Amino acid sequence: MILKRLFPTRWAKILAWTGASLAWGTTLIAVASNAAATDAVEQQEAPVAIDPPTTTTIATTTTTTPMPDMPERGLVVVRYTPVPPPPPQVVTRTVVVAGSSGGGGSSSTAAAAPAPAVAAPVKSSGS
Amino acid sequence: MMRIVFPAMGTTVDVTADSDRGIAATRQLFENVEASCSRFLPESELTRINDDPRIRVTLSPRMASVLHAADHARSITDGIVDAGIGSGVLVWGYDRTFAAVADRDEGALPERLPAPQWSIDGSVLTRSADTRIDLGGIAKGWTCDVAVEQGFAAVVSAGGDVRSSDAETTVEVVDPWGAAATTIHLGVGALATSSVSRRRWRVGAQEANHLIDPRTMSPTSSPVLSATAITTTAVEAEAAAKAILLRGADGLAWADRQSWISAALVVWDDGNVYGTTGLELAA
Repeated sequence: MILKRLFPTRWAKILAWTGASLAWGTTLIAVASNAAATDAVEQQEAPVAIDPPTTTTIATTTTTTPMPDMPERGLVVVRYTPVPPPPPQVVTRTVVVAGSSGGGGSSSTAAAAPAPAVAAPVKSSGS
Repeated sequence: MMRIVFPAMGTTVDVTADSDRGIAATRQLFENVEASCSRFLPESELTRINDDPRIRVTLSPRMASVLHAADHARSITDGIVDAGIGSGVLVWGYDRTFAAVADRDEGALPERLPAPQWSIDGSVLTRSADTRIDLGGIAKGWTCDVAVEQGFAAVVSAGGDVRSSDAETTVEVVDPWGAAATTIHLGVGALATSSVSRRRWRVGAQEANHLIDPRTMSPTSSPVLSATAITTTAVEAEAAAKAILLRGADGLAWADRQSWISAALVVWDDGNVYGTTGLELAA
């Protein structure tokens, strides 16, 4: 009697049962997802066992550093050489000057070289 | 404009001026500064200061001015560019002009020296007993600055240090392989390049160079073969370039954080060339 009063037609009954089923399904899915997410967080937060180092390694500046540390305002690659160039032109002196007192530095009285004929840019190569 | 090249201070000086008088005044200035600031000349004021056993010595006005510039360089580089590393340069074998420096085959490396300690107040220099002053790069930069600031020359370049009052000045940065790394539009300002690939020698099994790190008092070991910096004065450019080189991998990032450095460039040991974003490259 009550059911007939609540669902006077067949279609009303079908609609009511469908709605109830959907609500149940949604609730079940939500609960399952929440449980999975909690498991994932717990897994992430679990401490990772790290074996203590057996040897001490001291970081040193070597010539194998791949590139400069990145400046805050960015890095400009002015020249890229995919193939490393030959060793730089290292000026190595091997001449021993017997009894040298230092040579007195380079002579400032040597004749001046003429200026380049073309207005070439000033060069800066370091000393 | 006239341009002339002459040797001084163990390097080549390139001067552009608008008169013979300016050229002559610049040349005279370099000769005078070399005569007082060279550590290779036995009669120079610097040699006398370094050989003086007193803790406090009074300096000539010129020497005081150069040492104040060195003090400024030390201050702006957080102490990494220090003119007090003279003892380190000596014990590592750079005790004569580079033309006479020789490889040393004996195995023992020099003992580690104490860190340099010195200060200047007016014209009085105070230093620890084992601190010797080396003004090499700073004296060059200071002379370039004075020549341009006094109006003797428009552009002066000495051993990698350039000071310019000419808005059109461009500078070709030469890499350690002798090729142009890049060309920079400098204009009015200063630029300096510091390199460890040119002046090298061997001490026992270890390779030495002229750039002594005051933190270790021994030659630097860095992936940077040469560093170039652009600033307002040649003294600051010289200090910046040396600091970048001594700092190694962190050098360029450090330069980027300094408001007094407009731009910087490094030649890496693999031949690549990197710069900060402030670089104004000429086409």
